[in-house]
Amino acid sequence: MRRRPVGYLFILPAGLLLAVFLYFPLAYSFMISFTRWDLSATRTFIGLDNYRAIIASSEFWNSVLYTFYYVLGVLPFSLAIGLGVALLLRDSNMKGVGFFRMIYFMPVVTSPIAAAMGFSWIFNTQLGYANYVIESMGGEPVNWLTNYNGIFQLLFERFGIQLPHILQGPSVALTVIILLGIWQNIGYATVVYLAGLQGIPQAFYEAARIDGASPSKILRKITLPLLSPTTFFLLIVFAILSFQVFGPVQVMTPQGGPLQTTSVIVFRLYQQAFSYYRFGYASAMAFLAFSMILLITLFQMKFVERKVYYE
Amino acid sequence: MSNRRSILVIKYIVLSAGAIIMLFPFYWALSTSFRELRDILFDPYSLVPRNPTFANYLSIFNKAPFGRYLLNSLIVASATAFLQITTASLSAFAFARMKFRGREIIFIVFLATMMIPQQILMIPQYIVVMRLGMGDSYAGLVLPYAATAISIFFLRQFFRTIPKDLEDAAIIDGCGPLRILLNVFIPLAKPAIATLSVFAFMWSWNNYFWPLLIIDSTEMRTIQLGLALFRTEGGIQWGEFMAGTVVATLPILIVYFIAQKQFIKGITLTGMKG
Repeated sequence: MRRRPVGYLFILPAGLLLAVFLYFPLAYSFMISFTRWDLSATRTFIGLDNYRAIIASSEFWNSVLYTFYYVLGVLPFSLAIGLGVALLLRDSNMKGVGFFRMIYFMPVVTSPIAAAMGFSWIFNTQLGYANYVIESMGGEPVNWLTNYNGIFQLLFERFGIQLPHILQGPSVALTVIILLGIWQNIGYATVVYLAGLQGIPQAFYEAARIDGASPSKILRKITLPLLSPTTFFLLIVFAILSFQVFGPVQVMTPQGGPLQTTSVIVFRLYQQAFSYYRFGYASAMAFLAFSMILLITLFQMKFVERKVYYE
Repeated sequence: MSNRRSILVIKYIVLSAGAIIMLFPFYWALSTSFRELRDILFDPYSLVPRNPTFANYLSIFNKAPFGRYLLNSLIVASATAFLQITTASLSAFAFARMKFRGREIIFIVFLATMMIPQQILMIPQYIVVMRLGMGDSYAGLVLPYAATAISIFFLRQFFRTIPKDLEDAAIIDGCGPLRILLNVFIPLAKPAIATLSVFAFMWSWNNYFWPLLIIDSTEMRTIQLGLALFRTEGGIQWGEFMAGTVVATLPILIVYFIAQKQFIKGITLTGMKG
């Protein structure tokens, strides 16, 4: 093939845009994370002070804890329900497969803001449908989005047990936001699992049937292991995306929730930068958060992937 | 045989129950949006509004420029999709079919941008866009997303599957690279391009964070930003909030219903190949 220096011209538009809006900002952000800066003319270099201050701040660690609650709440349920729906829908001869898939996927295309508006209404304390259902079954109405009690603590309180802070679980308010996250993820997991299921050769199932394996054994010994690459992919994608949750938090609990219990990392970051104008501090926070995502992803790749079965 | 039948019936029951739960938030927003304030306060739980009314819709378009918000989002999402496809086809073609020094390294450098999380970029991106005088403008909303590594990667994979013969024929006919891209590759890559456009459009339409940062004036708000701020500025008018929610959601659901195949295909392709 001829050498074509004109190739550079073809990649120039994308390259230029990426340079201005991605590479430069990345470097710039790293630089300002070592400064104190409110966007005014004076920017003071303060070395690692921002990082030190963040690591010493209990607010930051609380926001890390709440982010983990969110991620750990959203992940398993999104995966399990998505897998369940995919297994129910896998028989393409069944009537209505396309119809159900269309419905389950609808929340995925819905904007998180609109979805958060809808959920705020359903979980409204005075007029929401959730409390209507609870009351018509004889229960007490719940002040969903203003309740700071951890859900595990609420559970154990009945037995008179006081859990330590870190084990109290997401506040009721954060739990509603977790429910929203699950609702929006199920359809995506379903579609990806359906694609994964299509990749499993029928021959495996026929062989298992001839050997007289029970359906639950087929699920455990064939389907789940062969789906593990798909599960792994979903795990990584959902972990990265859930770690960055922001919109629903801001719409459903504009002040960061009761006792700040819905202030996840990105919410804090946004507050620091755009409410308090602490741009250096917020940039340092962003890098710390990024290192955490990176570590988690690497951890998943190293330890979880061992359990993944590749053909 | 009857055992099989009953399993099928159970499947349908479970799937339908799930579907009702998935659909309920949509239905409830829609149903509330047609209720009078009186009904919302005194009879909020009937599944069908007692006295259905368009009043909420009329009133939100009076209280806030929802028409303008929709137009802004339409312009921004279309421009983003168009530019993403343009920049991606050019670079994808170069990476897939042209030879130049450093091609593989540049490709990897491009791809690496996929790893950079949004939250690190938002502050410096905000500063860059403000310094370039693009705050509160369409350019500021569109340009940061006009080139993305994922779309370049996606199209490059597709371009590589196009047979060499077609390209050679075009070269013999005296076509330059731009011609070949426009007349051979893009027509053949239509399905991939359709998928990409639909995703870029949806992503841009649903984006909230970026407009929140750089938009100041009411007229420049996108529909997501307009909706969120309508809530904070609007007291407790749930009928109106839900009308706004429906207005913000309907266009993207229509796109989804029309382009369902593209969505599913896109997820299956990108989903499996990372």
